[in-house]
Amino acid sequence: MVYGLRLAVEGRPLVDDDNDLITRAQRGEVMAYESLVRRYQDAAVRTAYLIAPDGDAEDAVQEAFVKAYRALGRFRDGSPFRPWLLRIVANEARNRRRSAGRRAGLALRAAEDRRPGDAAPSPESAVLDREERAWLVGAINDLGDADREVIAARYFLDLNEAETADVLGLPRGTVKSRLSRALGRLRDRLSATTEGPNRG
Amino acid sequence: MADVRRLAQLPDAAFEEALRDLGRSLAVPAVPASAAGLSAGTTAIDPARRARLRIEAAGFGPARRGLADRLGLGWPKSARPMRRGLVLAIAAILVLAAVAGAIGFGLPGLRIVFGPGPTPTPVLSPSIGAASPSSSPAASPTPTPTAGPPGSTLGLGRQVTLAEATAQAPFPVAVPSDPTLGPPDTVWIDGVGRVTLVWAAKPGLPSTNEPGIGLIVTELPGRIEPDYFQKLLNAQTTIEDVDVGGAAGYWISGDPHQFIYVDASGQPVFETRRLVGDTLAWSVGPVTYRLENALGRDESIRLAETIG
Repeated sequence: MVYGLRLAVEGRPLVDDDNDLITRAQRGEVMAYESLVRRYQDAAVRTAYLIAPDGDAEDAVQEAFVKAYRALGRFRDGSPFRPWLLRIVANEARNRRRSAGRRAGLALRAAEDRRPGDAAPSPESAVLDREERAWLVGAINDLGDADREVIAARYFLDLNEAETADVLGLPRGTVKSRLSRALGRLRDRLSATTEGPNRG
Repeated sequence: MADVRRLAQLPDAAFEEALRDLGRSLAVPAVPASAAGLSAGTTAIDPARRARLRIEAAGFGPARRGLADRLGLGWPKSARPMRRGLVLAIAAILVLAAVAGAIGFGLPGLRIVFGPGPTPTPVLSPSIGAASPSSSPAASPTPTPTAGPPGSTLGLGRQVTLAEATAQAPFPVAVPSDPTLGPPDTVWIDGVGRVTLVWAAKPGLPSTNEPGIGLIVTELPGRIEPDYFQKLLNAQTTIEDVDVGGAAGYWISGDPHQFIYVDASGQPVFETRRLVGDTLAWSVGPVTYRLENALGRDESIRLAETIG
């Protein structure tokens, strides 16, 4: 059962399927909303962890699901639910980061190594070894909020540009240029790197 | 040591792929997940929101402990089930509370009553108020209980006789033997075997926050986990360790609070009914007892010690 749910959230559910649930939830069917919660909680938690300060992500998710339910009446029929929800999550996570103060510790960190036997990567390989992942996380954590969020949305949440704009509340035309600048700054930091990775 | 500066030199497509690769390896806990743990620091519950809502459980049935699961907030039963259970149960309560607040009607198996804090049940109609003149001074607009036997508005389950409750409960039902109290006015049992004894308010047994109700004794198949409900109390609620006939008990007073206990399978169970008064709780073996009344601590302990 639990694993079945997991499969449902890993994939991208059909928008049509969401719309049916949303319509029913708007009519007051609590079970339909529960299905939406189940379907998107993974994405929501992930989003919150990318933005909220360490320890606040769960709260942000809870609050976001509550707010999303209340706002369901304003949800535009036929538009995708996932970015709409994740925008609410992102706002909640941001609010917590603001109240936690500037540069509160982020939850974002590289996982303990899950790939045994890393070989040294070839110079052009996109596959990172453990040390490189830790460096890259450190460099991303050091970026400004706006840069980090746009990178996280595009590559960690796998949102497309339009969805990224929705989730981050940006004009659609802004995402591409902001992402491009963020990637540039990230490369700058990496090439200027002389010290060990910041493992948080 | 790897030369991480190579990353800065990757072609765009490879750099983007590297970031996606990093994203897949980030230590973000999936829900449900078995790998990453959750911070215990996230279990705070908003007392204001909790106070706004009174959710009453009416015979949840065997699905009772699936509250979190039904909301998709459950984890596989793996490591650290207790703490996770608590985090998730709170999450479920928050979502449920909010959902209930927004919808304005009862969930299946749930009855929801709204009101900030201890708002008494409003008078439904003038005729009902006039029909029960005994409970309050005429000058005071004190609400009178709605029609029905004492406790019928609390969602306590099915009304039964004491003998029926004794036959159906999964534990021996005990009644206070205090002679001035007498037998309970009503007896209720719900789908998980919780038995509730209700006494109407009368001289010597003042009304609780629930008008007309003087004493509620709840007997639950489960035990108290003090760590749990201590976390759920807000600043205006105090908890005090007391001795109830040799058993460790807890006197919970002040603001209305929620109650949590652990069922026979070790799962935390939320009492979703808002308690109506100061509470004395204690466990004897596998059964937890709870007294709600307006008599104060010492009288509650004395009454509790007559239960057996």
